[in-house]
Parts: sequence; C-alpha cells; structure tokens
Amino acid sequence: MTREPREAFEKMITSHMEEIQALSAMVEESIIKSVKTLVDQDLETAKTVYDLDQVINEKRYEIEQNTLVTVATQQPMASDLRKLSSVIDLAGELERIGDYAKGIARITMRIGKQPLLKNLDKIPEMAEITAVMLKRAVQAFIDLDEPAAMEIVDQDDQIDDRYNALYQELLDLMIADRKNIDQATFLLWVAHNLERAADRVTNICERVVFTTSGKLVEFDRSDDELEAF
Amino acid sequence: MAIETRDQKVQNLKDEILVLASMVEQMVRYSIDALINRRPEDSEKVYTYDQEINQKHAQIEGQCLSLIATEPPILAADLRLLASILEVNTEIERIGDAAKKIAKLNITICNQPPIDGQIRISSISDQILENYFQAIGAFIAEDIETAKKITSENNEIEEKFELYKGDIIERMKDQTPTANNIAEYLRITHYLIEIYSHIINICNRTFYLTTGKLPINKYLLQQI
Repeated sequence: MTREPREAFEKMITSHMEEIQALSAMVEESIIKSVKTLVDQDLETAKTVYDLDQVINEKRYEIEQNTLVTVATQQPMASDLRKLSSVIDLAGELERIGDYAKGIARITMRIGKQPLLKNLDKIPEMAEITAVMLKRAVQAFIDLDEPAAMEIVDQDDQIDDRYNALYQELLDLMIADRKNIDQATFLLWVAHNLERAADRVTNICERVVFTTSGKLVEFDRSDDELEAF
Repeated sequence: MAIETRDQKVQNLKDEILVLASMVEQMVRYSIDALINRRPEDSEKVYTYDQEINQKHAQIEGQCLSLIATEPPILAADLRLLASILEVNTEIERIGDAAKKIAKLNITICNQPPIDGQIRISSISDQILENYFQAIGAFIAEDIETAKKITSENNEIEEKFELYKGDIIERMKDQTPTANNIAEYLRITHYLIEIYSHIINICNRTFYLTTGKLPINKYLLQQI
C-alpha cells in the first residue's frame, strides 16, 4: 500500500474516528443495559450484555490494527500522528468501559432473583450520566473541541456524589444486618464500576486536549485535594 | 555516532517499558507502605511519581508510533509487537493510576481514628507485585508459558482476597464506631483487584503477541 494524497489520507483519519464513535455507541448501550438488567433482575438480557463484551473486544482490536496500518503506510507527522495515537488510546478506554458493563451484568446474574436490598435509583442515574458523558466526550474528540472536553469533566462530580452516598447507604445496611453483606458487597462493586467508567471518560477528555494541543493534562481532582491536605 | 538499527530501536522501546514498569512498581510500593504505616505524608511521593510516569508513558507512545511511521514493519508479527508495546505501556500507566487512588484513600483513612489491629494487606500486595514482575518479564521475553501460568493460577490470589474481604467485614461488625474507616479498606480492595486485572491484561497481550489470537481469558473484577 502506498502513501495516499492528503485528501484521501484525511478521509482515512475521519473513518477511524467514526469507528470510535460506533464502538462508543456499543459501549454506551452496554452500560445502560447492564444496569437495567440489574434493576429489572432480567437475567436473560444480562447474559446478552455479558456476551456483547466479546464483540466490543474484537472491534477494539480491529480499530487498533486498522489505525496502526494507516500509521505504517501513511507516515503521518505531528498533529495527524497525535490523532491516530488517540484513536488507538480511545479504543482501549472504550473496551475497558465495556469490561465494567460486563462486570455489572455478571453481578446481575450472581444476585439472581433474590430480593434487592434497597431502592437502586442512584445506580441507573450514575449509568445515565456516565453514558451521556461518554457520548459527549467522544463527540468532543471527533470535533477536536477542547473546551467541550473540559466541561464534561465537571460532570464527574455528579457521579462522585452519588457514589459516595450509595456507598454509605450500603455500608449502613451491611453493619445493620449480616444477611445483607453479600448483596451489598455486590452492589458496592456496581457503584465502583460506574465510578471507574466515568474516570475513564475523564481520561478520554484528557486525550482530547492532547490531540488538539499536544499537552499532557490530568483532570483527576484528587491532585487538588492532596494540595489541600 | 552509530546509526541504530530497527531491531535496536525496538529493543530500546522494551528497555523503556522496563524503566516505566520499575517507576510504577515504586509507586505501588509507596502507596501500600504509606497505608500500612499510616503515613499520609508518604502518599505525596506517589503523586510526585505520577507526573513522571505520565511523561514517560507519553514519551514511549510517541517513540513507538514514530518508529511505526518512519520504519514501517513488514511482518504482521512486528506490527503486533509494537501494538503490544503501546498497550502494555498504557496498562502499566493505569496501574500507577490505581496506586494513586490508594494514596488518596490513605489520606482519608489517616484523617480518621485508627482501627484496632493491622489489616493484612501485605500478603495480597506482595503477591500482586510478584505477579507484576513475572508478567512484565514474560512480555519482554515473549514468554507465553509464564503468561499463561499467571492467568491460569487465579485461585491463590482469590483466596487471599476472600480472606481479606472477610476480615474487613468481620471488623466492621465488631468495631461499629470505626466501621466507616474500616470500610475504606474495602475500597482499597477494589483498586488492588484493578491492579491485578491490569496484570492479567499484560499477560493477555503476551498471548496475542506470540500467537496473533485474541485473548478470551479476561479477568473480571467481579470474579471475586
């Protein structure tokens, strides 16, 4: 394969970015569905979410392979190379978010039909916020829109607030009655997975900044908290 | 100055991966030691390391992609090796992120009253670090047998995680006034398991690198 003219090369880059958008749509659906199966105790759909992960993995490797072939054949420089390296990075982040959804589906299957300990409102809310953040972050990447990426990071507080509140409620249930421990531990995992999925969205936003400006930034606010300490 | 061959450049990348792996190992050690010794000030060291690690990660990624662009691999296996270096580079950096999360939790833990007795975290962290060394070594040497051995021997670490989790839960029941503080150690478990899952991902990459086949033996955090 030979080096393509500029216009054709740009089309190749756009095509890789669109592949990322398609993978992101699969992962967003997986996150929402995994939590819905938990709330509805729908074990059959949980199995389909669990199995979808293999498709997400294959798609991720396909994107990685295709993008690296473009790098090898088109020999991009500076900003184009950053775009392509970010495509590979985002594919990895999306695959890991898919793993978190798979984990939630697995928990649904492990809890089975035993009555749920409590109203789980915060969990679907966390999933919704994460999916919206993800969609917007990937769009910011496609548009190379750094200000949009930086705005998305602020939404992470909404996840953290719900995570901390849910964590406390589940701990109280564990302390109140030993019988609650197993299920509460599972639900802590669900909360943890959603919190980490949102962290991964933050990583994607960091990558948008890197793609547009070449700067390495860290949006993890725990740095600020350490300074306060 | 002699011009480096392509093979030398690939070897340099592998050497850089070893340097990054060693930096992250220090980061994990600091975060665990700070937790065990109840020293929040040591958590600061973890944060210092984090910035250096991010720089090193970006440097390796840039070097690797430049090599692919300027001296394109001819064989599929060569491209797989460079793709795998990119991926392992990121897995190692993510292990550093998890160590940072542990450091952050340690600050919360140290701001609360101490709990009675020591929580036995070192038996897990020691094994995780041992598996980490083996996984990195297996990747560099393209040693599929060691990689497969690590992924197939989950039982030992799962037993340790179960004991650790059981210990925390018992203490929560026995020491209700400090139950919240003890519960922070459950969050620590989540991050330790996350580190372990990154180690398994590194082994899976060794599998992909040497066979060209996609790994199906992924490690789920909820396995435990």
